[in-house]
Amino acid sequence: MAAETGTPTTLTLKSNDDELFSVAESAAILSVTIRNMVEDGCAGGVIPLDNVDGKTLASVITYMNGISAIPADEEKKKSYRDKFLSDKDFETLADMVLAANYLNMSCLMDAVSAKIAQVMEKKSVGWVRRKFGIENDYTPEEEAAVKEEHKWTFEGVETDDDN
Amino acid sequence: MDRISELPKHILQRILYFLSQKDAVRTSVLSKSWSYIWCTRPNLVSSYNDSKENKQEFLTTVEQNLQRYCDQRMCLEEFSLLIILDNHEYVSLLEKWIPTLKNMGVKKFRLSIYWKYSRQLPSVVFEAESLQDLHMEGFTLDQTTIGRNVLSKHLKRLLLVKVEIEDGVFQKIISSCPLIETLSLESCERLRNIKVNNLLRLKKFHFSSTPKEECCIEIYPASLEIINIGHADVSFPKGAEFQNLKSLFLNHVILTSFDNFSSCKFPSLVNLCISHCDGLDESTEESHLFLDAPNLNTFVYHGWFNLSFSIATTSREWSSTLYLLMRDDPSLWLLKLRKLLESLSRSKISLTIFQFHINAEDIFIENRDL
Repeated sequence: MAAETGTPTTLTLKSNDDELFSVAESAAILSVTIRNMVEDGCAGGVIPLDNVDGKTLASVITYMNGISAIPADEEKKKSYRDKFLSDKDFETLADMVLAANYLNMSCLMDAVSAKIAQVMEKKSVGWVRRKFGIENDYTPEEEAAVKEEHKWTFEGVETDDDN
Repeated sequence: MDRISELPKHILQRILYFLSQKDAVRTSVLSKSWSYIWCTRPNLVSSYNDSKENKQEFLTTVEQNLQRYCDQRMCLEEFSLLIILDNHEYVSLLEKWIPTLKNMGVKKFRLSIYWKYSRQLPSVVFEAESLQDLHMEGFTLDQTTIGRNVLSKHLKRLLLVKVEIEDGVFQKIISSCPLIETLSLESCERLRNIKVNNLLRLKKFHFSSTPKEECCIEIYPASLEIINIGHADVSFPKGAEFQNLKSLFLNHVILTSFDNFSSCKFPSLVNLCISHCDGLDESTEESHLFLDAPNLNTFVYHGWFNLSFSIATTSREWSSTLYLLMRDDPSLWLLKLRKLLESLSRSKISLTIFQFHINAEDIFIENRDL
């Protein structure tokens, strides 16, 4: 396609709230989902992405453009990813990881997953529950039993009042 | 339900993949929906240090976990095992597990094992194609260990401590594992000649031995970022350019050729530490060491200062820390010192002189911004 004309091909992506985005094919095919569509010849018109909203898609496209502009240097790519994700809150990260999953972009999925994991790292159960709004549906007896079973994982972790 | 718990299971498994075993297991207490996610994440990390149970129980658990992934056909990408082995029966468990990992399609296998005495490493370890990281302490690595081919071509990190290994076996391993990025050899006292020239991705090289052993090291992958060598004869290739080298630490090292070292270029070198490398000028009367390091930031020299050296750098802010031991003929020595200080005059110099023979007391001079 692009190779034949010698000019970069641009794809049009449509979010589920009907926003349209132009993106270079070379960047967009970081998504295996989009790449498959391009290879199957379904990318002529507008590519509808039914599971991604406009705000998230804009962010994903920023990432696609940014990362594809970096030559094959894993360290530079990693530092770009770190910087790209550094100011994102959890809601945005959750949207991004779902989008990355839907678009089949393993590098973005890994980076966002690692970022979420980083937030949980070395934190107490109570802290993680509060941070992510996780409701504790264990009975006190059940919770005590689970804690007893994995007692060693509580050593050296910050304690807090409600746990 | 909350946003994070609502994420698809395979995404939660991926998030937990990036946590330590301890952090991952602890998520089971968050809520009921989290109780078993950790034990389905695509990595299995078993570290004996982390657990309080006895070793037999620990190994049984590892075996059961492996079996569980296998039986339920769950994806297992990584398997890490860290353990002190002190029983031949335990060592032979490796012979059972490693083929299982292969069958399960594990991509990254990390193994950290300790053995108090010399015992042959089971040959199955170097037959593991997925082996990425091997940290081994104790053990013997001989021809029978790698009798058949070394298949672990994806090995990135190789750390050998107190391993009985001879040159031929070592060369065979590193020539079969071209992707090695970190190579650390500590107290492997049978090594006599090490050539690491063919590891084109080597970034970190660490070697240390004891004064009584003599090992010659030839070093030159341009990819190297850190070189740290203690107690060895080291040869640098003539005119080589160490494009990526940021740190060079030489401790009790004998440079086999001054001219070769002086002809090398170190465009990225930031830290240089030369400590007790004093046997180096025995061959020639007046040895001069020249260092081409335009980006040097920290230079530390510790020793008898029986050579002269100069550093060419375009750095604006850099520091030199010198601990010089002085003996005999102070007039010549001071002349040499003057030359050295001139060549370092653009750096912040901190100078400590230890004087012997003439005065038992140490003389301390601090000299800033000369």
